[in-house]
Amino acid sequence: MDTTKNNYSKTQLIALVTLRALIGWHLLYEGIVKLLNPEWSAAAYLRDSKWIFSGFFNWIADTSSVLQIVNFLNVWGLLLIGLGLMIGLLTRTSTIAGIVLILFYYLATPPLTGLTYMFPPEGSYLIVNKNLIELAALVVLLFFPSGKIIGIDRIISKLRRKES
Amino acid sequence: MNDEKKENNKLQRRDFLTGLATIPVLGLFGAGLLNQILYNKNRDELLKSDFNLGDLISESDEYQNDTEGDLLRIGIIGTGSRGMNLLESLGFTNTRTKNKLYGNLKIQLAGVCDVYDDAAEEAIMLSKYNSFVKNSDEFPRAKRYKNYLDMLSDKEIDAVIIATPDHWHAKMIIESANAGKHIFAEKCLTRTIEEVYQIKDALKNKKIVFQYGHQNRQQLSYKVARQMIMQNILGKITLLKTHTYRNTPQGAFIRHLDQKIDPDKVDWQQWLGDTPYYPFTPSRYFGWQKFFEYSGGLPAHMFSHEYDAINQVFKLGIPKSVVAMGGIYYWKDDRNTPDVFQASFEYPDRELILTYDANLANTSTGEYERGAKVKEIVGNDAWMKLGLNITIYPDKNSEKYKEKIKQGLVEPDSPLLSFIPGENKSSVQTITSASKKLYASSGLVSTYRNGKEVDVTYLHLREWLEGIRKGIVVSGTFQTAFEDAITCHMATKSYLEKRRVEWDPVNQKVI
Repeated sequence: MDTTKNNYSKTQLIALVTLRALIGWHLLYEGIVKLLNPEWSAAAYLRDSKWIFSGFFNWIADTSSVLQIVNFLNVWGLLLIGLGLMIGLLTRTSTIAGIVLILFYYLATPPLTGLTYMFPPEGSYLIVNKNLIELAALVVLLFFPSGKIIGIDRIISKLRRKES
Repeated sequence: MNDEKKENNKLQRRDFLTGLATIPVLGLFGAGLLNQILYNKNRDELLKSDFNLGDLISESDEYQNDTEGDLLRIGIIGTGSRGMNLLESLGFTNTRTKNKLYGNLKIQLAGVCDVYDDAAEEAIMLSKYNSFVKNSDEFPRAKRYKNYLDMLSDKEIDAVIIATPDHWHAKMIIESANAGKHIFAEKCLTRTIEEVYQIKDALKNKKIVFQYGHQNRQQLSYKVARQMIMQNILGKITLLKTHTYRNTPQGAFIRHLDQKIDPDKVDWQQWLGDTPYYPFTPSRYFGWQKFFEYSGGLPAHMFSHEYDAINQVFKLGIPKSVVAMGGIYYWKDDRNTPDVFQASFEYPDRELILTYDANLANTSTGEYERGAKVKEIVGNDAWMKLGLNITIYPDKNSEKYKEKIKQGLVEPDSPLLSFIPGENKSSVQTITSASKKLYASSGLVSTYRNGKEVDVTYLHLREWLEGIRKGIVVSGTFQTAFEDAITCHMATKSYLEKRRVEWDPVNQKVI
């Protein structure tokens, strides 16, 4: 079966690829900002964690060796996931990794009633915040894949097929 | 059918075009990013060139080297909590594991003097090893002296650390100077104004090194703050605000609650010295800061830190006049020193006022940095938050920054410059990104560093020892101690006498 064939209409495809590229743009930039700032660390964000997982996130912040690994994974995770989504490279893996990463962000600082954070939100949220929406958008992209139609994955999949 | 499948599996020109269709988005992203990086760089350079911050003082790691010279034999008078802290900073922690961060000070704890047997014994225990010495052989046990005069007459002691309550400082400093011992003296210098002059006379023409125990003389941020202020970043400075806020029994000098002490092991009569007789109580013994008989209360004990920091940055000297008030409004115990206190120190020649407010029943107001409340330096163009870190906030009505605010280069009331003592080198940064601004304003920047924190008390003691060996001028000179003690005592005097207290600079007298 030709995976580059699809049942999307042209407008559906444009909408999906646009969403994918925008989320990719956002994550890539978040990664680059952290990479360019030698002072950056997730420590403050993790220390600010509330709710039932706060113990785990605080532990990361307070354990220097673990924190270093988490900082590295976060920066490079954001960079690679963002790039992958934007150009459609390893799109499925990038999408799943993105979902996991953003799930961590959400669980660290969920906007639940009674929880307030040092980092003030840029809007008003109740349970649902932009992390959760971005996460849900990635779930949509997971089930409506577009990387093999518009993306480097299309070329890769063709090359593989040719070899076999 | 087969042919069609084959055709579909072939990599075609069309596949390349659609496969790479989102690459232009990446190009757009790159262009946007480059533009932003150039903009920030340009802005940083513009701001930095304006402030001429290129040659600020930087941290030295000289302290990691071992010191050279002969072994110095140290005696300590007073091994209460502060005395024990000082011993720890000198490396006496009773461990044979080498602490690689600090250089060997080449010292021996040769003598211990304390009126309380258990405290003296504990210090003697620590004298065996020094954690800054590699493969430290066992040192001889420190000798116990029941009276400080016996220690001072002992030729086996080269230098003394005085960490007793304030009512003993003057006598001990004077006798030590007369005995030719080098002196490291804790603050506050004395309990009374008269004693300050007595020490001044005693130290005259003595060939000894005197170091006043304000370890914050080694705090890098104060040195950098001075440089920044000299470059006129803040404009005309008219107000300096300092604070102490605490809200625990320990913080309010109630320090006997978890102490078990056998009064028979305390030479109480010696501890009291010339002060009026009171029967021994753990409250009085451990919490002597609560009583004017042994200390100058909040101004001497806490404001002294604030004043010395400010004096370091501004070289203010003694104020023209002081007005103070306060009371015992919260801790209704045996104390007679105030738990709420406020004082203003007037410097008409410098056209500024220094203020101090202290409250032992609240910690939630204002901003803290590792337990210490940050000072605020207020100028007409900007104000500075001064603690271990420095943050500068431009004023929205500043004439100096008016144009820059218009151009969007400077954002009023949000951090403009910050200084964070760093791991390898310290740097002053212009703050541009939103997240950096948030970190800086929340005072959390320092906790981000993986860098080591250096014990300033070690640095201060080391400087004293280097002063003894090499004759370098130490930073806690008697002059700084003199200014500190007189200023603090003026505040106490104003509080007690309920009047404005003046300084007569010609006759060098408090009136």
